[in-house]
Amino acid sequence: MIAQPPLQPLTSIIVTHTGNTPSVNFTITVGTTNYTVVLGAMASKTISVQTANLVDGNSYPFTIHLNGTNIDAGYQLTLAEDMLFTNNNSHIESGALNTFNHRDDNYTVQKMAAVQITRPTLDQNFPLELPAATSVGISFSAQGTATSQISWTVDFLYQTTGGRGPFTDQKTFTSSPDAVQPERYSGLGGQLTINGQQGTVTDQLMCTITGVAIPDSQITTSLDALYSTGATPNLMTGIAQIESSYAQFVTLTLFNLTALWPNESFDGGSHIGLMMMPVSMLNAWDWTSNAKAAVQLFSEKLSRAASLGTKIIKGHSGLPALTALQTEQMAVLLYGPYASSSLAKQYYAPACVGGTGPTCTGGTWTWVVNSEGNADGVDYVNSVYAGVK
Amino acid sequence: MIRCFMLASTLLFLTTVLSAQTPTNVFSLTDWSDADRSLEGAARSSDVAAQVRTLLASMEEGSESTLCGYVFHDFTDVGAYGLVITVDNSGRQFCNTVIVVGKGNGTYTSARVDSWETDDPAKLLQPINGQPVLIIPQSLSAYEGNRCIATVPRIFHWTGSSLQDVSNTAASASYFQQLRQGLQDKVDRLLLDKDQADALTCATIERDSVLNSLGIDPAAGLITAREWAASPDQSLRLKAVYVLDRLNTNDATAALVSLSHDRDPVVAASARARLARRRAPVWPKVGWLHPSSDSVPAC
Repeated sequence: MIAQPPLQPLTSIIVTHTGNTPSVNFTITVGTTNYTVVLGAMASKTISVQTANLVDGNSYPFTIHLNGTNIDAGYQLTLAEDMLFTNNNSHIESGALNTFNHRDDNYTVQKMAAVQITRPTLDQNFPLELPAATSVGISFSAQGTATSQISWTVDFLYQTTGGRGPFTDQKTFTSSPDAVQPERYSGLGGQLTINGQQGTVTDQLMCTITGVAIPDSQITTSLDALYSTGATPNLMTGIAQIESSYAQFVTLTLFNLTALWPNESFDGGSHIGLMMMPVSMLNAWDWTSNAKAAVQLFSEKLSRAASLGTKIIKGHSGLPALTALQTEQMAVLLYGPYASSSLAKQYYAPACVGGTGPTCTGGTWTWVVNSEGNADGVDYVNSVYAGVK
Repeated sequence: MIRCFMLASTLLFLTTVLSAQTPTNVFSLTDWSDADRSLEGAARSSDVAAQVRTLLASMEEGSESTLCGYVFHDFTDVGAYGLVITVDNSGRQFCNTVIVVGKGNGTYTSARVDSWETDDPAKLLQPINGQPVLIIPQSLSAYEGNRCIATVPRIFHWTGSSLQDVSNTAASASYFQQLRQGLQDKVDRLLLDKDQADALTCATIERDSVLNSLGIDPAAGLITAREWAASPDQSLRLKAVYVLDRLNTNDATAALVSLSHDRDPVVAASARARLARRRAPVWPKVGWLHPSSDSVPAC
């Protein structure tokens, strides 16, 4: 148990004299306790209420009396947020200024439980934790009355610099007053709105979760493990290099904080992270999920490449089967933005060597790199292989 | 009396709404010139969406492609509705293919063009000089992940069976004049921000491309591309290849030849491929491929 600072008195009433009478004597009664305050013209004073005499959830009469006659004196009341304040069955907002002009008024005041978040602190930032760089631990604590639990709600909000999203999530838990509750969040980040509630009283503050610099060696090890049986076992490092310059997080400004945030595609974040997968909370904040999703997609592209190769071969008698490397190269093009369903726009195309006509009479069909049909796609594939680490 | 009038009005309103929401089974029509305006509201029904997917699967795209979006549009100049579809072939939400489908005499005709980030097909449809056209962004530089990519819109006219690039016609000039001014403003703004060097590069390519298209400066971009060709930055040299390839002048070709010997294999290969493509005959190119029967190549 970590020692907490003493609970601040939260129950108070601010009385403001809004008239010009040089001296007005106000008598305020809360329950059976009288508070007297003398105020000059336009003066105000805070009265601390003896909270020990008030039980949470109970209602008490509340009166205010202006002593004297022929007084030019209105008054304003501001009650602390843990006081529910009513007049003639209408709710009057606690924590706000309420103006009255009556000489003798009767109200009801209800004492609510007080809660005050002490951990985390306002605007505190939590970078993801190494070595995994996929999660972060945050400790929560709040002061409150000892009789009931504090209900916590943590709302996560992430939106790219280009306004893609918002992606949201919510986590809830409970804790005892003054206790420290550790929580761990994986695959989540951005702006956190933290609410601690006890009874009907809530305290709220904002924090952030940001990224962290992940060592290249750690990325390489992970990517190689995910694609260990491919024709080019370290191919995924090449995709990561061209797609993100090998970075899940880069320095950006989001939520008014310049820090390491998920690496966005140039258009403001339609794609995100190490392998520039479609933006989502998980792809943005869990680089291992980002990589796994990319490798899974690439395995589908391998199947698609093989299928397209078979289709092309069917139309070109004698064209040899694609090698594992050729199929992989076809799949890389299909993973990129220049992917096409057209047989004429794949990485490899059939070419007739030494023959003529649609059936390549007198010659043989061979595979050639299809710069004519999809030059941009071929450049993408070449860039990926050139970037392999 | 007033109550009766209100009831009648309400019934009339509901009847109108329901009529407008009744899905037009557009796919059962023999000719999409027979479709009416109710189609525009009905196109969002799940039935129509499923039929669009079925149609897409029956085309060259097959079942592997992802439907990004679709919209039925009244191409008033051809007197028929057309179905504008955008498609992702990568599985990563790169909606970089636009397909326009027409239907006449019970037969579908389609044409497709490469595009860049055309997630929402409705955004492609605009009238120019009162004529319905498709304004389709296309890439002008290599994709480099989180680095900038230059794009420029091209204007296409749907004939009912094919797409014609009408970007260089007089009718499109006012659109590109306006675009040119916007791009110039963007370049001027980015010049003031040293942190925007990457974005400035792409904005410059885009502006120069429009200057080329308008015939204001057919060599716009050449000097810049030569500077980039000599840069130690591989990304700039690769951008230079794309700019020089598009310029297609003797000076540009000479610079491209120089880049074909670049120390970076990707830059060199890209330059070589683009030079080879210039030398290749228009048809036959590589191979003897057979487009699917429902596919009409874009002009």
